[in-house]
Amino acid sequence: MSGVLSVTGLRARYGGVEVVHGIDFDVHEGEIVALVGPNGAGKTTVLRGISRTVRTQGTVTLLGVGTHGKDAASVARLGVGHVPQGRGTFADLTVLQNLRLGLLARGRAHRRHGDADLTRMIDMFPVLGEFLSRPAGALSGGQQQMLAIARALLARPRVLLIDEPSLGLAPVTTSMLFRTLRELRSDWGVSVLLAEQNARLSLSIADRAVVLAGGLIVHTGPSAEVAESGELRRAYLGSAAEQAVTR
Amino acid sequence: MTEILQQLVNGLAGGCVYAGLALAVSVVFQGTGLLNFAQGEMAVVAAYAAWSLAAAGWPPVAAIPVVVAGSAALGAVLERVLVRPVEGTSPLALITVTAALLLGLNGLVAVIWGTDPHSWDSPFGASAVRLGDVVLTAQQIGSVAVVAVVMVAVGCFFRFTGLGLRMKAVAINPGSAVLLGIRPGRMLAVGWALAGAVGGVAGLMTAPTVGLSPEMMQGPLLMAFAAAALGGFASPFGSALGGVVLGVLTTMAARYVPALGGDLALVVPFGVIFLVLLVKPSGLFGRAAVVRS
Amino acid sequence: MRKWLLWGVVAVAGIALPYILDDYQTFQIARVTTTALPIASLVLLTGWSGQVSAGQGALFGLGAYTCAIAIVSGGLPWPVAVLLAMVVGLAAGLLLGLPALRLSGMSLGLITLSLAVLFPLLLSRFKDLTGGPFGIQTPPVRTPAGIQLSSAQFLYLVTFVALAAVFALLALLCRGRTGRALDALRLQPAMARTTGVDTRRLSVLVVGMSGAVAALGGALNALVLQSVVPDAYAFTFSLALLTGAVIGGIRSWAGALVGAVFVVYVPQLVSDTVGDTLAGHWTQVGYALVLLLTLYFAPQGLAGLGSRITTKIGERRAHQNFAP
Ligand SMILES: Nc1ncnc2c1ncn2[C@@H]1O[C@H](COP(=O)(O)OP(=O)(O)OP(=O)(O)O)[C@@H](O)[C@H]1O
Ligand SMILES: [Mg+2]
Repeated sequence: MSGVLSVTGLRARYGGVEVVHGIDFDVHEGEIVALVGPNGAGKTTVLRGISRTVRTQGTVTLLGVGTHGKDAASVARLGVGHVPQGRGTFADLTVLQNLRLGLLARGRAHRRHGDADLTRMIDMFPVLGEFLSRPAGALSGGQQQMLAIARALLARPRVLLIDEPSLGLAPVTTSMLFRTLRELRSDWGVSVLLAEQNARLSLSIADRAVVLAGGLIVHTGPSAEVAESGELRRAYLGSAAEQAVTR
Repeated sequence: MTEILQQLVNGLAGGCVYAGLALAVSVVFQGTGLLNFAQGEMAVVAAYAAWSLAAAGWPPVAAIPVVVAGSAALGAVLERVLVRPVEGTSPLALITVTAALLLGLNGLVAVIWGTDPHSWDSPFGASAVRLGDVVLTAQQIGSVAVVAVVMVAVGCFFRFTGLGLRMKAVAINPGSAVLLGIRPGRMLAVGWALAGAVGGVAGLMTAPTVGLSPEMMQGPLLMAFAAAALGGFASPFGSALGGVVLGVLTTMAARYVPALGGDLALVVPFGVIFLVLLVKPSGLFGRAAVVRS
Repeated sequence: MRKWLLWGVVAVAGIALPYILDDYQTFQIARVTTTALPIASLVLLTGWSGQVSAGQGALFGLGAYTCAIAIVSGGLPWPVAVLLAMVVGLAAGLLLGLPALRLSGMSLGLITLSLAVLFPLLLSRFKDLTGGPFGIQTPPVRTPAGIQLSSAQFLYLVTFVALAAVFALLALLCRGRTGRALDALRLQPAMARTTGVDTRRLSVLVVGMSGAVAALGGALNALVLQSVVPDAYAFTFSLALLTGAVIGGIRSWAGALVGAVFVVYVPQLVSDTVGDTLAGHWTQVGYALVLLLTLYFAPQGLAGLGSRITTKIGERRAHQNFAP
């Protein structure tokens, strides 16, 4: 399998404090990788390092192209989609305008299918279709999350980075979202790196898992293996039973 | 009655020019949250450049597009070269840079073209139309038409083009815009270019009425600021509407309030700015949420 | 400690200067001290409370005209006229400050810029009071009987004492609790509001005080020049003051003095170089250039640059200046 995204020796610091201490991992073609770990482990920072919205050391290559020295916009154009924690929709623009911004971001190869893809996306998230001319800011949290993901997907990224999509979503919505992601990755040829605290959920849809703690990778492996390892769960993820109760 | 109608027409015609400049001010503000103090001086440069071209024998049809394109280029260059180094530092540094531009451009215009005022014949000719007892000069009709066309064009640009949509996206949430491959810096330069072009048109339309002098846009700039305050700085449409309102208000005040004749009409925009900021700083047509720091 | 020593030296030098210089030079440095006042008012306003004024020259002019009119038309003794000017400046500042704190410190910039453009027009409009384009001549200030000083020396010392008093007052004000409240106001207006600082009142008061200080400068300046003319208070002068404040160091009282030297001597220098006709405009271009260069390369101003070289304290301060 070829690595779509490959991260080597990634380090990140805020001010003088290093919070990611040199990590390596790959995301392969068509794969969903769950990045799991406790609060403050550095998941968000890793995603931001890949999309170059924080400064990092180390190398990140995307389809063999290094992102070193590129700004965030160029990395996005290379094919990295990023749905940040807290969604980042354009509140004053309508839902349709938000989606159009996604379409505008796609590479030349995909321009022709723009309208068809938009229709598909609306089929996939019917609520968005209902509210096309509403300001995005007037949507509910879950609807905005769907909008953010749909917008990012419409840019036809090769790798989609998604940060805490389940935050504030009803469990049904989350599983719907995750099912959609699974469908899309084969059709659209997009790999997904999913940062989630809700390990049970993300492990259930991911192919592989990367467990992050204290800015270091403590384990990498098939997600089923991680999900079943009582030790990993207890140490880093909290037990599944607990999560089932809190959710 | 005729008298009032005539004043109303004059006010509307004058107001259109303020609306053009206010639109320019607002286009920059909605993109960056920055009040460009130098917008008026950029328009002065455009007016003088057109005058020089005319003196060199260029016909208006050739000179005007060249000057408008040049104004756009000037706007982009000023933003990229002079404003960019302080971008993202603080609003105070930004506004001080535009104050420096105001001071510098004003000085440069005087140094290059001299301080003697010049009169400039209207490119629309000196004829006039009578509607009943109300007189419309060709200059009034022409400048209103030109400014109206510009406004519609800007409106369409923001509404229907991808570039316009991207600019709005940057204004609303630059962090997310970057994630969609949009370069905020480039959009700011486009905003300044657009504002430069629109302001340039306003300058060209002002020159035949008030004449050419380095100070020619000071009054209109004040009017444009008042208009933008009235309409909401972040709302190009509101600002333009504010310009028309201000034109009428000022003309009426100058005519019917004995103390406010002549130069002193500038008390009106000052009062408008003061009152609007005091009572409803988001502008009468603007929304509060869009005023960014 | 070292700082106090430095200020001590400056104070002694300031008092000694008129005994060393001739009357014309003394007159010149009195122009500097009186110009330092409106620049100090900008340091308070912009550097400490985070609001830009593009119209400090108008408040300066308001003080100048109030003083001149009070003396010539009102027949008041000059010290009373100066006090009156301060009161008028305070009132004008309070009024201008009312709509402030909106649009993140820019609203004051907008209002004051409008005032700067409007003020000269008002002057030529109310000719009966202001003397129109010719302005008003004020009688020279006489040295009180019993003091062995020339009139220029005496007047200079008056301006120097006023400047020293203002510096001391403002520096004290920006030191303690008010200083911290101002920091909060400048750095985090939204937060300041929630932590119980009455930001509205504070910012209005600051604008009022800066109005009073600028007007004091204008009044004393009018006494020094013995005349007021509308051309001296054009809006470009307001921007020149802003330039002086930024060049000197927007948070530095010493910088206000440096800025004043700049604003007083640069126009002369330029007019010596390029001749009188376009001197004003070349000066503007020069101001703009220096202002931009300062903002890019030394946002803490010359005073900050100096103190960074001599002491390390400057480093801490460098980040506070124009950084939000
Ligand atoms: N802007 C910032 N400035 C300083 N430190 C930060 C900043 N953002 C994050 N950190 C620190 O970096 C570390 C990693 O944070 P990060 O947000 O990447 O964690 P996370 O794994 O995404 O956590 P969560 O699950 O809570 O979202 C934390 O210790 C955090 O305190
Ligand atoms: Mg996170």
